[in-house]
Amino acid sequence: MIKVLNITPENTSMRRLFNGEFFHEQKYSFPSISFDPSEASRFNIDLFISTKVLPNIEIDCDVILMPVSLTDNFLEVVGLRLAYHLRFTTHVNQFKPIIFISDVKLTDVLQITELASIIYSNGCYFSDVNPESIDDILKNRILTEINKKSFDHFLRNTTLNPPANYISSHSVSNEWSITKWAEILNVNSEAISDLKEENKNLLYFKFLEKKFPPIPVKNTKFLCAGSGTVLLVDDEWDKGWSQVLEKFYSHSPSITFQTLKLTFKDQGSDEITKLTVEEIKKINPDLIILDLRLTDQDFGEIPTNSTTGYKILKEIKEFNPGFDVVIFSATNKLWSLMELQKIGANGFIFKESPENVIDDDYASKGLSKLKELTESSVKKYGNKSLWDKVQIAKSSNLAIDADFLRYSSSFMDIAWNLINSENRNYAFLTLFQIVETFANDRYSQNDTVLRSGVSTRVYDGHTSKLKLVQDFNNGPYLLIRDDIPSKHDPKALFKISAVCAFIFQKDNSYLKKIGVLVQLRNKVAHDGVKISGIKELSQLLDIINLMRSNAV
Amino acid sequence: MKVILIEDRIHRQSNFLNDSNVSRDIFKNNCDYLTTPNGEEYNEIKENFENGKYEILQNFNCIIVHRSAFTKNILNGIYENCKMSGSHLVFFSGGISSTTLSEDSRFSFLTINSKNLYSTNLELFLNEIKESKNIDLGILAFGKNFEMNIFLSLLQRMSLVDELMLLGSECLVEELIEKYQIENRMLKSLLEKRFEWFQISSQVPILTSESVHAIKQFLLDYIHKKVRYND
Repeated sequence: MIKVLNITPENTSMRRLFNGEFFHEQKYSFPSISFDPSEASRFNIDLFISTKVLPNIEIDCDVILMPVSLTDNFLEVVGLRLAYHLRFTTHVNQFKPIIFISDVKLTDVLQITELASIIYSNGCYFSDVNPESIDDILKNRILTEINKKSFDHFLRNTTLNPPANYISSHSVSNEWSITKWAEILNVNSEAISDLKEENKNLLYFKFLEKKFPPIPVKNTKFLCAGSGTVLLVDDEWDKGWSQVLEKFYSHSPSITFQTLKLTFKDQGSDEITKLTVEEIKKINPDLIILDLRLTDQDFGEIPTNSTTGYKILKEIKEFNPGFDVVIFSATNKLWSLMELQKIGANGFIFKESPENVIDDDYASKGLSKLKELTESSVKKYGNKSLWDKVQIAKSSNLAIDADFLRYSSSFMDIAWNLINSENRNYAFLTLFQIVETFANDRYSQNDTVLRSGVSTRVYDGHTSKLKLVQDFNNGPYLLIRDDIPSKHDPKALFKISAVCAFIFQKDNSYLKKIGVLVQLRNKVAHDGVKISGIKELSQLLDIINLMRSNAV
Repeated sequence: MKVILIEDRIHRQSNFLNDSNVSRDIFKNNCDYLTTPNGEEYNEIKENFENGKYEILQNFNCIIVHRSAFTKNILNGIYENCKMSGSHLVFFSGGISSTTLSEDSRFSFLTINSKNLYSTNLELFLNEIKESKNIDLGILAFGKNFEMNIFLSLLQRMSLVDELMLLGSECLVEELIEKYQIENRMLKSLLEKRFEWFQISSQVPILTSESVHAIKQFLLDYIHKKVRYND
């Protein structure tokens, strides 16, 4: 005998729906939606179905019979909603056939609500409220559980809209993405648990869980090489992002992770921009992970360049393009990304959202990308101070040679672009060229200072001379000596040292550094030695500043 | 009729209204009965709630509250006060999956998604108050489909409930109205126009099954036309 689970609206003297002699009926009356205060404050129909209904229909049956709606208001279509819950919940009746009943024509039901599309899925039937029609289905259809293939087909073809608010908000992507990243990283914080608890009963999230089930991930510990500070700027930081990224960086002991804990919610965009930029300047991070939409004002039909994230990026890059900023967003709109790249975004991490998922390990790839970008950013440690030095040098304009001021200025710009694009070797050679050019000019123009081949200068009543010293570790350098003058070919080392010694009155320790720089220049240019730090670039910028800031 | 709308996220409110092509002037235009506290006024209300003072609610017949703006305790307090006084209550939030309306003769309670609230539903709801001094949460819940919902819901009740068990073989129109909860004025008037026997005050018994069947057929045709012609 076929066992029919007959789900009915509460308190109705239901008419007979099928022939009880041939079928075994188990009735379940849908509970009235009661609002005692403790439930009213968090009432959600999905929560109600998940906690008050599904556990009570764990009843062994062959087929489920229920109306399209189970509450007083038809348009709530709670019957259809319950059916989706059944399909997306691990439940004894998850795959059981369902017969929906209504006297409204099926074509009309389909017009009235999108949820009605489930009626067309495998294992679902529709009948008017008529015992003969229902009997016919019960007797003549093969009422078996839907199989995996049918269920997969159903999943593929089901389109469920997220709660309406999410359409214009990024919350769903955030929550979905947080959950996915937290799963991979095994984050078990209170915020994550709250989020999971809150979402696990929502139909939309149940659907996503079934559609994109977690897959085993090999790497759950990401070790980022290098050291530095990473700052998260995200309005949903307290929803779990902060803990997720904290866990991500916890395996990298040399990376300090911080979160900008502002209350973003309903603050104005300009205010948030101002506060955030101030904080960034104070914290001075090596990498900023920046969400694009940080306030309610950022939603709706607004162009990318009006979003708060865009404004922060622009302001920070104008202040110092050495700050590395990675955009952390669910947007995958090419034109938005291009606009952000144009003003200096150093990379993009896409929050996984249902519409963004293109492969099973999307979240895992996102985490790997974050590792890569973090390593690249911390490697650029010091770029911000180099930018400051470029600016200081460019603002020094006392040198009398206007051509030199112009030339060095534009070459410093070129050098900065090379620094910023991680071409430190070329940046070094470019800056060196500025120094060498200045020395060449002074050498040829002022033979009272530097006589050909003889490094002497008379000042303060005595003659100073340069003496070549061989340093087998760091290369040769020149020292100011009063004893034995030596003859030198007028090469870079000689000219730069002489200029520093005799024009800028620099001492021997300074000249020793010049020697090291010249030696490095030769190695970079001829032996392909790589510049990894910022020290030498910084020294060259100091020399250029010296040359530009003296009226010689 | 006085309504209060308590919202802390004004920018989001604007976005929603904008998305639905509803002018923000909706608040200004209805300010003679609609209060939308902001700034200091909002803070004062919030502070009062935090101190367990809900007296302000007594000034309103309908209270619309952004659920996420308040703690569970405050929401419970608001709910209890409204239930006691019989004021209509609406909780809205972005996280609410779907509209749920619970009504009885004393108290109506609606939970609705923020985006659905800030839509033409709100416009229609406020217009109804303005024109008829009538607070109907059904309009806020279902907007332009409000009537359709009434028709569909009655049809479903009539389809599923055994009329003979409910009313016996004969009944008065008044009884039929009561048992099938035909409260909507427009629907009653349509039925009066359509059926000679549908006279509310008539003391002449009607045949229950035939009457229910006739009304069902009328509703089915009406719904079909509405759906088909988007009427």
